[in-house]
Amino acid sequence: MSIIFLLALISLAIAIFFLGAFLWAVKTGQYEDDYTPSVRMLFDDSPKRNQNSDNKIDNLKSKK
Amino acid sequence: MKDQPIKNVNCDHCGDKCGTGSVFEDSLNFCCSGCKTVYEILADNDLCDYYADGSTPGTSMRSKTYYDKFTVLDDPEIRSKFILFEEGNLVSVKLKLPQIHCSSCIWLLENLQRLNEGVSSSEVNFQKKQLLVNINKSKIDIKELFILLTQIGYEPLINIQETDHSNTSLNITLLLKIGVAAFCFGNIMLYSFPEYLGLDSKEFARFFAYLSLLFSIPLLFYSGFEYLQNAYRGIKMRYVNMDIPIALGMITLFARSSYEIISETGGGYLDSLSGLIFFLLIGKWFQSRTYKTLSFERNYKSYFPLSTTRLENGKRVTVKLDDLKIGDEIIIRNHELIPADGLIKSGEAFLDYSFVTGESELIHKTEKAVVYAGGKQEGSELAILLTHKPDNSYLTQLWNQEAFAKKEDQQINKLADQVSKYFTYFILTITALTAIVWFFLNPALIWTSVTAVLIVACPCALALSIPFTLGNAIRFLGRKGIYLKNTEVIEELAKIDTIVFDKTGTLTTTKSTSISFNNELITEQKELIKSLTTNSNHPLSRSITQFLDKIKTHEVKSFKEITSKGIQGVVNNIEVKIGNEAFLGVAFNKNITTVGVLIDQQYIGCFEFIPLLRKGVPDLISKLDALQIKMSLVSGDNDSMDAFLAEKLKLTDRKFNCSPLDKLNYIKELQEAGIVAMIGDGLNDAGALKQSNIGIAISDDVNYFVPACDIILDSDAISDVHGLLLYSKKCMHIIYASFTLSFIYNIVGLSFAVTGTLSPVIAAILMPISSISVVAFASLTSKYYYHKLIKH
Repeated sequence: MSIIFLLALISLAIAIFFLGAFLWAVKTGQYEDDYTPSVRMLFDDSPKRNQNSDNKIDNLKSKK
Repeated sequence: MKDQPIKNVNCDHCGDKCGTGSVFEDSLNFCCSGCKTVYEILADNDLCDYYADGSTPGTSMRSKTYYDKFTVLDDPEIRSKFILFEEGNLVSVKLKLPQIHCSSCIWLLENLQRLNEGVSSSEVNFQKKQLLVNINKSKIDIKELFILLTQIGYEPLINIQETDHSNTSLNITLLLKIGVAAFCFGNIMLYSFPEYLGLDSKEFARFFAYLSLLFSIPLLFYSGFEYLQNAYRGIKMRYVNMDIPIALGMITLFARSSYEIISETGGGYLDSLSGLIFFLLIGKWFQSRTYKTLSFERNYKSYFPLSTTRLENGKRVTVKLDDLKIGDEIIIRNHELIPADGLIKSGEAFLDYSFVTGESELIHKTEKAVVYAGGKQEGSELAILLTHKPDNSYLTQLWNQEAFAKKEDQQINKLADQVSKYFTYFILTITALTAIVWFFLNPALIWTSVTAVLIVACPCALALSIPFTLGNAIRFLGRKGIYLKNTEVIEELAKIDTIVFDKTGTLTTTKSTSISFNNELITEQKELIKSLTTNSNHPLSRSITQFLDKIKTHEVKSFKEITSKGIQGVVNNIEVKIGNEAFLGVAFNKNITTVGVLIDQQYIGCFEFIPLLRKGVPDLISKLDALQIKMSLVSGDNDSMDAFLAEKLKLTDRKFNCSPLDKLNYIKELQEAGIVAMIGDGLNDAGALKQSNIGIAISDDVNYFVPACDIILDSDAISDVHGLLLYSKKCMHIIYASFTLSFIYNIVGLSFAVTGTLSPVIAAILMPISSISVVAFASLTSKYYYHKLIKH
């Protein structure tokens, strides 16, 4: 029966992982706009993005 | 007229009618060269999918001088308002674009980098109507970005007074709290199941109980902390609020459960505690989902431009409004707003004060006359010598009235607090009685039964009924174009017994007047009239020119415009005179604005300008009358329309020539007899809207000019005001019914508690059942009445 202790702890670990994922999603602003992404993904040919400057911006944001 | 034939077509870019100055290219029609330019920009950059993508094409482009207003962005202080962060050449800018309205907007705005290589990426937040742009400073500066956006029809708001950062952070905290509460709730419920089903093993019971206890700590002290805090504040201020019994219940639940678990005398009630906090937070979230993107707290600064043009040693310099001094000479162009009181130094003013006073007719002023802030120039350029600073002008003084100092949070959740006051005393009495009775029967059971009473009495269902009923109502009303500031507005609405209407822009539409000619006109006469009116810049002439669409014009000889009288000239050797009674020497004036026409000394009739009542207004007034609601009309306009209104509307109390301050005072007077709602639109109503119990602002576009108010009403929804009043009353009935329902649950629970037989299982069942049934009842009935009363 002691396996139940282990299982309970494993399930707990998974639950904590999902809680962390949720907190991360909220903090990175994924809940701020729940409409635009649904439209954005339907645009046909996505424009060529300037990959370099995008990365640069992301770096800057994480620094902030 | 130019030889180009005018086709009856719409511009392929903006959808406007193609009139004079139309441009044709690529077998496409454009109403102006501006639209053509935008088309070319889009075509050059292979973005013509824009036209295929949506049914709403772009807006027309403005004249070159229009962009002068962006020179204010040269000021680093103003520029910094839009900048999120800056490093090297990279600048991240956040802009508010109220024009965003469809998916092709998102598409075009997120492809900005194809229009200008200075833009590296852009991202739209559709709900907030925001655009986040990253630009390369060396290739495009912020001013150019503003111009680029304006050119493609998305003019960023420059005078953003309000920042919405506080709202978003509040929402984020609530979401985080809900997340933690949901996590704890789910796990604690799982650990409680073995006990419900009868668990024998002591070992497991202790393991699960301690895990639950562990999770209940963040649950109570993070997710539920606000309730404890509010209750503490309430006690300190000697003010009983809804949070006191809730906090009492929470603390009792936690304390008793911890004691039982640590002393190993039982499993505790942590499952109930977690459910309670989780449901409460969900209710709070439901209530907080109001219209954050709309601003309900604007003052005159939102209407005024940020900058104006000042003459300095003969040079034109753009300056911030705050930097204006008495004695400055400023330039006001066509369609610009006068920012401060002053004297006309040169030029002729045709001022539109409809925004300030409600007076719809233009006021004509000449040199050395006094002009007040808030007037919009409709004509040629004007030089003004300032006599006051912008914040000290006649109009802006209104904001020094006490109504604007009124504290907002004085009357929050009145009903909930009233009910909870009695409820709290009731619970405390029952608790005391239980303690006394058990003291005599069996003192060992006092602790068990007293805590049980406090646990069961926790007014979870009671606390949920208000957010769910009113939160639902707000969402439904939003679909109809009725945007409420918060849920308390409904409580107040239910009590309204007096409604005051503004005239211009509220009962009547702002822009369109219906023009008609009271006689038959043959084409030849139309041509003569139009030839004359096209030469005049007077707004009435312009309306007539527009009215006589698709009519040819001829050359005019000896044209003369006599200010505030009329115009005359010779067309095809026929003398034509257009103007008022005195000018023509003929009597035709009625209760409305009229312009007579004299052709070859013959009076042929007059144009009648009838303001249009908004759709559904007469119907609304008679319906409200049937509800026995007192109604008044206060207008800043003159009483020329009085007879017209008296005939069309059942409004007996009509006041005209009211200044904004008169309106405010009139509301104050009415408030002595009842609860007053004010329905208005412009700045001239701002004081009245603020003073009234419920200020309802009507707007043709809810994202633009709306004075501070409690409800923003889409102009199409004005006929729903009647339904809104009925609905708010019904909502209050629903809340009373939910209160009764949750009270019944509490009585049932109390009967277990006072007898000392409340087991954790019964508590765990009763609590969610009562909450869920109250939530379901509130949601379903509020939806039912919405469909019955408002959505026809």
